Amino acid sequence: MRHVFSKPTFYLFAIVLLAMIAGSAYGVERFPPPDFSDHQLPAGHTPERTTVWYYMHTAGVIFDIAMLTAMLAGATYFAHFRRSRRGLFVLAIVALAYFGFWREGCICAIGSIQNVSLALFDPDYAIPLLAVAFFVLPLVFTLFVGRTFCAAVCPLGAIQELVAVRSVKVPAWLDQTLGLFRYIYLGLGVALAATGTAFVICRYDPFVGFFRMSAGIDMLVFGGALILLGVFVGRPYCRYLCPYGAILSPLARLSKFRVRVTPDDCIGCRLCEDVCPYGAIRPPTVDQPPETRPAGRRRLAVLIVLLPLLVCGGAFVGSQLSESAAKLHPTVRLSERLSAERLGLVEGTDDASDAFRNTGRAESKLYEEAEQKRGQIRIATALFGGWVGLVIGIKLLQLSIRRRRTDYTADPSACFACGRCFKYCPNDPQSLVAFGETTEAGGAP
Amino acid sequence: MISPQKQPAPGYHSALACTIIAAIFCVAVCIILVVGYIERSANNPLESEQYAALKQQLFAKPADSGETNAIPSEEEIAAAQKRRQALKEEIRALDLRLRQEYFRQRSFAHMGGLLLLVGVVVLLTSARIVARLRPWIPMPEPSATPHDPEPQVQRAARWSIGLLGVLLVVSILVIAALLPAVRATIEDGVQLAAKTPESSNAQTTAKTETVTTKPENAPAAKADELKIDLSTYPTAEEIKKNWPRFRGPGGLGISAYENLPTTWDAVSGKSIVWKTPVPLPGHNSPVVWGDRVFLTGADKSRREIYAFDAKNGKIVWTYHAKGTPAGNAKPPEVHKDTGFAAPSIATDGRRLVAWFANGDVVCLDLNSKKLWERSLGIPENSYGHATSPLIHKNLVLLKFDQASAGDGKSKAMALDSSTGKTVWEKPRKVPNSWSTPIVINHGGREQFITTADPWVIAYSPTDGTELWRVECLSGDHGISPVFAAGMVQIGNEYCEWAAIKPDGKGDVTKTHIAWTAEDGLPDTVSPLANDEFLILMTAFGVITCYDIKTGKMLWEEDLEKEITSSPSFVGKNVYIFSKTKDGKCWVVEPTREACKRVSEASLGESCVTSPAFQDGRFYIRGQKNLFCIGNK
Repeated sequence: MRHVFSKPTFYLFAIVLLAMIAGSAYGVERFPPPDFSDHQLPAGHTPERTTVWYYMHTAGVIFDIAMLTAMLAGATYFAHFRRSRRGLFVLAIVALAYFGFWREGCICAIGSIQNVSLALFDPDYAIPLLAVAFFVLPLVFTLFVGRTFCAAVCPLGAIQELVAVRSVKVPAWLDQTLGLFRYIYLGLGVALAATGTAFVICRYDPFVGFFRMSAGIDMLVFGGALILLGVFVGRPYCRYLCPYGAILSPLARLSKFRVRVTPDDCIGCRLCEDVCPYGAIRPPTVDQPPETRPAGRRRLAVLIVLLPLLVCGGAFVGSQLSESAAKLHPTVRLSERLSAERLGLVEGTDDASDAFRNTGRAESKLYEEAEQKRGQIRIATALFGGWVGLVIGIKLLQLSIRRRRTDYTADPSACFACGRCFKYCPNDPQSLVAFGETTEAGGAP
Repeated sequence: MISPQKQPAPGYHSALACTIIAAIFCVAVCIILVVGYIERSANNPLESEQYAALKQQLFAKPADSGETNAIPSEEEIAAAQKRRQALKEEIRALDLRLRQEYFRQRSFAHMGGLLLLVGVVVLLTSARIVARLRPWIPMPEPSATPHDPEPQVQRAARWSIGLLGVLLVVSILVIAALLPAVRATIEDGVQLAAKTPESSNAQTTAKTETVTTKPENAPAAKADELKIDLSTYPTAEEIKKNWPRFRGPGGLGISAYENLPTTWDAVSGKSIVWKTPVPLPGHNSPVVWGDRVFLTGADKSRREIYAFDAKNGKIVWTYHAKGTPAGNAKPPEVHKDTGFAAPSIATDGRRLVAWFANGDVVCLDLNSKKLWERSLGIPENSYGHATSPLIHKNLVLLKFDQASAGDGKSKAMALDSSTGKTVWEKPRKVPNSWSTPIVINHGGREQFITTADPWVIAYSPTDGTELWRVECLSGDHGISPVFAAGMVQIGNEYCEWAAIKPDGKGDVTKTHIAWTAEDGLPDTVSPLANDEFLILMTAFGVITCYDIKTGKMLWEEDLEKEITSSPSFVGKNVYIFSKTKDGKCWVVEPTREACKRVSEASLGESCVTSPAFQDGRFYIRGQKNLFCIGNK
């Protein structure tokens, strides 16, 4: 495809991104307290939750939910009614400013997957209303109007949208393959969250370090690398890693109202396919010769038979991860540490073991709890493995089925409703603005 | 056709210039920030060489800073304190200056970050204006009609996903194989929890052994209980049969039994009757009474006393010493080679006394019932407290040397073994030392022999009266004396070895040193002596043998390994344990002519402690395990 910005702009963007990474680096430093003075470290305290605090907190929650709803409605309006790329772009900047930098990337719909997972499996966990709203509202909108949440509401999508200036087309087969990682990451995130092991999706949120101007150097590098990659590959996190996108994609296939490339009949100019940085425009299909059909049917049958085997095999392989995954769980890790200290496998104690001993709790109880957690993690990792097998199987099945298309259409599961294609469609009145006086009437090349 | 690029609109060049300037500005700020970050990371104020040197100077012992070892006068002490105060002020000033500089750099970086943010906003805005004023327009290449790449894409994607699946499986299996399982250790804990549901602070043991734990002061299980009569004292015969203190009866390191193996191997299990992991670390040596082997273990926050069943190595009970308020005030500073549990236990077969690095002295009966506990104050000891207690009749005798000689904090003391109350206490003008004292009986006179730089002082154990003293030591002193052939043998590497006749009164330096020696003087390892030989050993493995009566050097033998464990006599043989990772051991037989090597053995792990000998077997503590070695 052609680049939408000039060369100088592209290089400048790259430089700016590097600068952003470096600029955030100072935020990771921590300075040790004085160790050679009588300086008293101030004691930590939890602020008292007064009535005023409660009302303020509730108002904050309501405001966040209202903002999310309004932004989703706005994105829907710009994507479906106004068909305005500019409107979506401005909205994305607002989302980045509010949900990203102001709310420091928390709460977000992507992370809310873990809250919901934990709430489903741990009866003691009280899920915040805000997490429920952020999980459910984008799903509901997607079910009706496609991925308008990704278009202009998600701050992670917005930051990538800003930098997608010179996207190259990823080969479709590679795009399909890499897209599987979203589902694997989703499975892993749910498995670890449901067992209370870790919220890995939040921990490895690549952009939260920029939003908060503070992160470990590893996360800054990871986030910076993704942003740099995003200059050349449109929305790499959204397309290949976002676990929430893995939920939205199939829902978008079911959406009643989809983003349409053209407001009128497609004339097959291919401008939309060329301009889409996300490879979401599917060309019309051509009927295959009848002699190829039996082979296709056989392949489909074999894959259907293979599917349960893939699930079972995946479950077995996944269960092999249970010991490694258990190490991530704080209770298991603490019990392991205490055991190692007892056996003399490590020298001295660490903060966690000291803190545990200060609680006066019995170690035996901790071991029992750790054993119980390990059992849960064993089941979760087996289910995770089965999930991966299922995802691979379904994807293979999907790749063995041909759908007939007569026009250039946006694949609802891959389309982020960014609106780039709108103004380049010759059937859209905006195209006159885009092509100006050099465009002939009708705009067909 | 569509033109690929429109002619630039008015203002394009201005916007482009603005973009370039903003970009250059951003890059410059970025470089400054990165350089500043690297510089700050590399120059942590507290890692400043000047700062570290001053701190080292402050914490250095007087000997290290070139001061003499003689007892300082009051004027010298005052001058030293003044110097230290000045040094502290200098460090504080430097600390403040370094921190101020550091935070100045950080605020500079913060300002840079804000400037960068402004630069990025300007850059983004102007870049978009540039793009708007001269937009690029898509121009797809003509393609063959009809063109449907989907079948090829699907085929390639299927293969690619298949390959991904294989890679995932391999990756998961590799991760599972490479990461060490936690199962073993945790299962030990679970197993233990099942066996000791009443445990208030769980213990762990190796797979084949069992640990039982009782809460503090809880009565022992009937089956394990020993019958104890606290009103009696052990007879000399009882003491001889057991191993009641560091280096056994008299602190001599001489076994009463000769029916012991001369070869063993922990790896193959040869002559290893049992071995049991010791839960907490410690450099103390085992003591044995009857069927019980006692050890202590401690770390920064925990102190424990263990009783092992001598028959099978099971831990019969573990006593968790919660500590006195004074002992818990702050963790003592110890050197890693000393640790928090260097002193060995002392027992009289009725009670046992443990002394920890925080200055807490704990007395239990042999069933783990606490009899008394008291704090002597956290020792001011540059390497950490290591002197072991000893029990003599109704007294617990302690040599508590700490700080510098001029501080007046060192003392010798006797506690009532029944109550822990002080019976007598004598100040000692000596600095911190690490040797363990002995009690001898010479000519019917009992003497409590203590050693520290520069004095060997003998006290009456009953009332603390000083009997005699000899000035013959120098520098850091951790060698425990022995009494053999009628002479007290003592010395260390910074002075001459001295054989002292213990029948004098007052300062007998000039009159009661029978002989001196200069070769092969030890720095860590205590001497071994019988009526014929005196054997000295350096930490780098050189054995030097003297005629104990004349002080004539007989021979030298180089084992070429690091040794800090004190040697022991078993009959004519000397048992030696090394600090090497494989726990190399030697059995040698000293003769007047040479060192005859009898055998070599292996403990399988590093050893810095001394063995405790019993009938047919002996007990030795390695880095991790307590071993029972004997004829199976």
